Amino acid sequence: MRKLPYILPMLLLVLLAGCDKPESDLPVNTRLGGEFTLTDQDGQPYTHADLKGQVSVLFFGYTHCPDICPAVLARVAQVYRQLDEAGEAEGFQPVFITFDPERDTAEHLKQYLPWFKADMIGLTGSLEQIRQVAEQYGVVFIKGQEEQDYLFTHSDYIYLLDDQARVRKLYPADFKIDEVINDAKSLL
Amino acid sequence: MRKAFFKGLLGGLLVLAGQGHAGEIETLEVKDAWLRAAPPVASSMAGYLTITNAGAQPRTVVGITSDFAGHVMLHETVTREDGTRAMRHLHRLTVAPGETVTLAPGGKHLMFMDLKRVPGEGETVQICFDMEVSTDCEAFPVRKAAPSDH
Repeated sequence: MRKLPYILPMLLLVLLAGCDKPESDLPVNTRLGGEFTLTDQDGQPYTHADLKGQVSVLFFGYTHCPDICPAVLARVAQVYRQLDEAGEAEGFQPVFITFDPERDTAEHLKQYLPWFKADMIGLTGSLEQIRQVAEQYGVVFIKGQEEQDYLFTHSDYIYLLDDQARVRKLYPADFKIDEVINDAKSLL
Repeated sequence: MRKAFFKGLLGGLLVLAGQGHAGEIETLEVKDAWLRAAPPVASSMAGYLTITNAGAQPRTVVGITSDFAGHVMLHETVTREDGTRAMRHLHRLTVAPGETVTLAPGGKHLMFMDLKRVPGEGETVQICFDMEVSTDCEAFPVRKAAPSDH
């Protein structure tokens, strides 16, 4: 019984420590990201600061892309929906940035993205604004020479950002859905 | 699910090639055909399938048509040395005897453009393949995700 006064505070400490959110072991990528201003699908300005306070899956593409981009959009939507079904989508935000502002206007993104049922934010802007943010994330995009139905040569990484808008992990376009879900959960 | 594909091809090729043998099975077989569902405002769609040539002659797809798209092309997404992805137009697709060619996301695929309408998830659409000596059609179910995504 005499040990009780020592055991109780220690027990309390252990319990309190258990209440803290476990720190994610995903490293912070300090080379990617930065300030930007784009326009969302409602025509409102969207900046780097708007990424803060949420865990984001950020990815680039264009809606006239037939193969890679729709596949990525569908997989990101699956990540969102699985988190949503588990009641864990609060604070998780998919963000799509087009590098085809000529065709992907805010109005078009507003019509295109809701179909994926993933509460997705779509961002467009001037070519100069998009080039800047693409460069910040190491994204390459080259417009094809065709006058109509042009396609892009592009990189296709997906970025997981923490609630301070810091890049914590990159994935290939054919990422494993469960991996992204687990990583996102570690940051939520 | 493995189905006989392009049955109409058999007669035509045997006649043209003049080297068919009675009882010889010369068919292309297709499996895993599907079209990726897209938003109603989409301007293009992609289709995928696996083709096996069980016959003794090479088979070449030289054109593709469908009633919902004004223009269909064979494309291949290729990864360049710098890691970027580019689209390559394939003018024809030859399947050698015994060969299986897979058209899958991130690789070879059918690209449907000038869409007259966007078929919805759950629909089945007919895609027709011009094989130089015959044309035959295959049913493509429209799916929201690749079978591998489940």
